[in-house]
Amino acid sequence: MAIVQMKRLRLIALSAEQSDLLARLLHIGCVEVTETDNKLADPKWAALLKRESTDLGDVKAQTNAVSAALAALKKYAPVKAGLFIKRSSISEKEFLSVQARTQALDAASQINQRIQKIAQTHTQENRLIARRAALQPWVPLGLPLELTETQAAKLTYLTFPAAADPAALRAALAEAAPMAELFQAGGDKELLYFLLICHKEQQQQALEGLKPFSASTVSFKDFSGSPAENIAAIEKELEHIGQERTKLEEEITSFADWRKPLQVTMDRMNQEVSKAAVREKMLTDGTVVFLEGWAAGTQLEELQRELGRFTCAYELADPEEGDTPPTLLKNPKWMQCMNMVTEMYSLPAYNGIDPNPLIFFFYIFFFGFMFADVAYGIIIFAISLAITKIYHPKKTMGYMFQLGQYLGISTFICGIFTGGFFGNLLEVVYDTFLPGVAMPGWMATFCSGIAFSPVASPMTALLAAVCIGAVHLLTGQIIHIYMGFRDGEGVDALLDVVPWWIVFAGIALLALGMGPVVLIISALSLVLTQGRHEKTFFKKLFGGLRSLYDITSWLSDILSYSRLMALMLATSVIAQVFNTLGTLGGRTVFGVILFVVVFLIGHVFNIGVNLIGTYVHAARLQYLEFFSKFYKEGGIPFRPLKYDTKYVDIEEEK
Amino acid sequence: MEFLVDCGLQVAVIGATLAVGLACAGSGRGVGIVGEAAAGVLSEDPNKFAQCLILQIIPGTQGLYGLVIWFFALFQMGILGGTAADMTIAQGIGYCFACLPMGIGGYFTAIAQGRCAAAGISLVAKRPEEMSKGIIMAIMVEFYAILCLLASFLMLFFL
Repeated sequence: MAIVQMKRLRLIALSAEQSDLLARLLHIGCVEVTETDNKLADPKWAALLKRESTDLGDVKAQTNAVSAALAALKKYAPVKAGLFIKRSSISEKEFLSVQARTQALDAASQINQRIQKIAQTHTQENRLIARRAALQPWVPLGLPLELTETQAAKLTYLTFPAAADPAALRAALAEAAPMAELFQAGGDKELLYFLLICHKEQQQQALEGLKPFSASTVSFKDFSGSPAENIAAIEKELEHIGQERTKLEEEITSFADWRKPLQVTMDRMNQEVSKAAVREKMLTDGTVVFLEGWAAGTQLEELQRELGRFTCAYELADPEEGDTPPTLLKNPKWMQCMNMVTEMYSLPAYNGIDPNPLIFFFYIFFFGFMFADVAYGIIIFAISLAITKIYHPKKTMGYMFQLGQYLGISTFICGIFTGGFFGNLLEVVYDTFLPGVAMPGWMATFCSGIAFSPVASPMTALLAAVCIGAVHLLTGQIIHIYMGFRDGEGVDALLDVVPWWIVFAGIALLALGMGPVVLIISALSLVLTQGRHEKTFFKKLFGGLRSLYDITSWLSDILSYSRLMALMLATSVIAQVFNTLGTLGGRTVFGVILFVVVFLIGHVFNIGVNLIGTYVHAARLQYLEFFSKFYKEGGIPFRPLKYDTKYVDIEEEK
Repeated sequence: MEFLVDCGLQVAVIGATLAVGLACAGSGRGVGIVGEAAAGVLSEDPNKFAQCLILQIIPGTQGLYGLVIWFFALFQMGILGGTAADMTIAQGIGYCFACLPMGIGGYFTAIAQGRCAAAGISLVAKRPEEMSKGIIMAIMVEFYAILCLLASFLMLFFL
């Protein structure tokens, strides 16, 4: 239940043992290696050590190869993927097996070779299709393409813009070169295709004469045979390429069994990448390596035991003044889901306070208060539980569904007190479909709300919301005092808070008609105390006076909790409206069908919209109202070198 | 002037009409704004369809809230029960104004939310893993539509 103490680790080990050492650090997973730039800036360090050269690039390339192979398998041998990745377990020995990794990398490279070949077939195909398209217009002529001249004549293939007038062309040609003739092969939207046959000696004139019409010559240098023959050959080749590609695709499909090993190897390679990235941060002189980093205080013994096996020298020191150690929160397992809420805001600074235990109760209660429905609670709980049990999601997803279970329970309990069961479903069903049947007594009590019913008495809900808010804010202040005493600034913290409590007492007394004396005294105490950090007398006075203005921020903080009531009402109002909409068909067969349809759509919608809204607003009340009273944010997350896998769970070695 | 005295129901219906009409118009625009942005992202990466769709439906809720208020207003006026004819002009104006928060608030929040969700779409395009934050930003706007819904609902309920 706290922020884990960090130790500064400085380690010198033999280069020869570097690989093994990193593997062990990866196994323990409690050391974050930091950058050593500042060391190299020091000439004394730079004279001895230089940056370790690594194979990070190679490892990344291999990782990309595996990832490309997996993508190809996804394309050519698709499997129905669920919403979540179902993780399988694997022993650490198996996970680290070099042989399995080599085999999988080999398979990946085979798949990738085929992907490359498939890409080549596409290029070839495009080239052939372009050729075919170029030949197509000339098919009607049927002359062999290699024929460019006869004894007396020259043959030239010409194109003109589609707008050209064939008659005008012929007229111009006749004028320029009488011994020439144009044969039209065809035309399309853009061009007209002509064969020009002319006497050898008049070719120049003929082309000159046609120039004004933007004639351009087409050459068929590499072709032989008629256009139709060429097209037939191209088509045959295309078919062949198609077959070849199908074969390649089938070959990739036959690698489908490699999917699992490749996924595991993807995880393996990611570990290699992180190891290589760490190696990049190490310094070396050829025989020894130096690394610096942070070690989590919770696993120091294990770390020392492991390091004891290597030929190395190390020190574990407390953080010095000016260091910014990373933040790691340590909480019991059942509370870890709160990390999700904390991390979305910002981790606490290393010298701050772990907020998870503090917001755990409030967050879950706020959510339940806003949702407050027995049936919705059961649904949220059941879905979260089912996903947790079936898919074992990890990290954020895991937290989300663990949290979902608590939120479901809380919604359920609050629902009991406010009489929500799919809104007012019970009343509606009894009114519409069971007229004349009386509700059992306990059910009637439940429906009218044991504590209060939000729709019938919104004022009570508002009052409850504001009171909850006051408790929440006061708790925040008490934590502020606690932190003050912990850090040796207790008096300061008390002066921050206590005058405000007198203000609240004063307001309460004034409201009860006991006169404004206490309020005036409290205001004076604010003026006297709140400017104490300023240097000069006037600044102190001004700071004190300015603090009186903070009364507005207190007001807005308190009123902000009215959202508890607003969202509580929103859930039941929307549910209620859908229930009423459903009964429009009355007590008939059609009416029942209508009711079921509206019921399903409406309540799914209501849960969906309110789930996100409630989640956000419960969090917002922590972030803005609660945290502003005590929280020191801006912690850097602790990112140790450790197993971080997507597809498998690694079983701890015994 | 007798016309003015007898038109209580008609005035009330104006309110209900505005509640559903404005809220739906706003939602339509909002969903449209997100859709335009989403189509752009999908042209690059069709796999993001599901994520984009979630963001696109977010500004759609105002229209639904409008419909809820419209329905509830008709219900409270007694149009659905057939007892609406004898409504005074004062009552009619009351119902009419009770419906306005939903219409006005729904219209403007839906457009604002649409723009916010469209920005969320570009977030999805660049960093799909941060999509939840895009949703949260857009949902912050939702709160004010819910407040409008509540205001209209409570006024209609207690009127």
